[in-house]
Amino acid sequence: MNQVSDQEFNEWLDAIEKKADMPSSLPEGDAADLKLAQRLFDLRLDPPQAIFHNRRVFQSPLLGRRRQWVGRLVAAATLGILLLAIAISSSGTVRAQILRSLGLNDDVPWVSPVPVMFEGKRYEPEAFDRLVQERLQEVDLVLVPDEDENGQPILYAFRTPEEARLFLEQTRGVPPNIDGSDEN
Amino acid sequence: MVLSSLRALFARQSRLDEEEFIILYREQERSVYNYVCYRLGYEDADDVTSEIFSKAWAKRASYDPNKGTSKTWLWMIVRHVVIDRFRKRRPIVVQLSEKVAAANRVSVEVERREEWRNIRDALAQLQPLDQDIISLRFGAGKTNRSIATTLGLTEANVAQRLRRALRTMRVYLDEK
Repeated sequence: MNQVSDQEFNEWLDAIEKKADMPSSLPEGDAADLKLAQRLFDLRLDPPQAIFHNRRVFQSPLLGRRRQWVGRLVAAATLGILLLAIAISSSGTVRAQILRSLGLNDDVPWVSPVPVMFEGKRYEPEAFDRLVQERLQEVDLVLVPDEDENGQPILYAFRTPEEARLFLEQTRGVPPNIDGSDEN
Repeated sequence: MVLSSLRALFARQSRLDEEEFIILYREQERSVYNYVCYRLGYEDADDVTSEIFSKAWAKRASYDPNKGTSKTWLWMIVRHVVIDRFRKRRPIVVQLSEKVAAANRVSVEVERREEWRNIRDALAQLQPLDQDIISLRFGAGKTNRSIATTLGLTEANVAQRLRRALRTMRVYLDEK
């Protein structure tokens, strides 16, 4: 199969990293390889919020004081966004989406295929089903799929979307663009 | 007296002060985080990146500008921490059941994990050296020249290995 030289391939790689368009004249195999390269470049992520928080460990008291007002602004903005999110979810849309995507509705009995974490306790599927029958029949549970510490699938169950949202905030951080403190 | 003054002067010069450390942190945080995503997985990247910078902060007195740049010093720590994690880590992971996999579509976060899992499966098809080259190029965003310096290879060798590694990963992902 024809292919470009290593040097030319790597030059294309550099160009794609700088967002150049994919060349149309390349041999098929090279083009496919560069497409994967493009996917890998696009996969680069900003570190999540949690690490930005840890950054405070590194700051001297002087810098900390200088940035204190920014921190207050950010805290106020974050609180505002959370309140907005809760307001949106209270319309039922978010909850309905989550329930639908899990194949749930109010009428159909459902048993989890995997263990469930609920209010700090882990339940096997049958035990959780019993709990639902006995105590939670009136509750529209919100379920968040995750993995346990061994990488096995597990569902986290919450009584309200707000609890689920709080859980997601605490365990996965908020999007990095909420915190602009380090840009100042 | 003179000796202690000299010592103090030397100590000041040979360590990274707080301002310098913060600048280094800002410059390198994204590269380190993405490198860790490649080497150890997306799920662990937060913790490991935090650990790396905490260690670097604790060891900043050991930085000696006569031995290289602060970036070189930091990346030595990065690679040590990653290798250390490799030694300690548990075996991985897991095909989600079909039902839960469907449920996972609810969360962008989980989809992202899947994407990283695919990439890391493909990465696992490579020799360790080539895994590192891919991680440094696409994760850390380093140039071929910089990778060559880090790994003690020639630039041409890096270019060649990078291309072959990409091909191997692509063929694996196409067949998957």
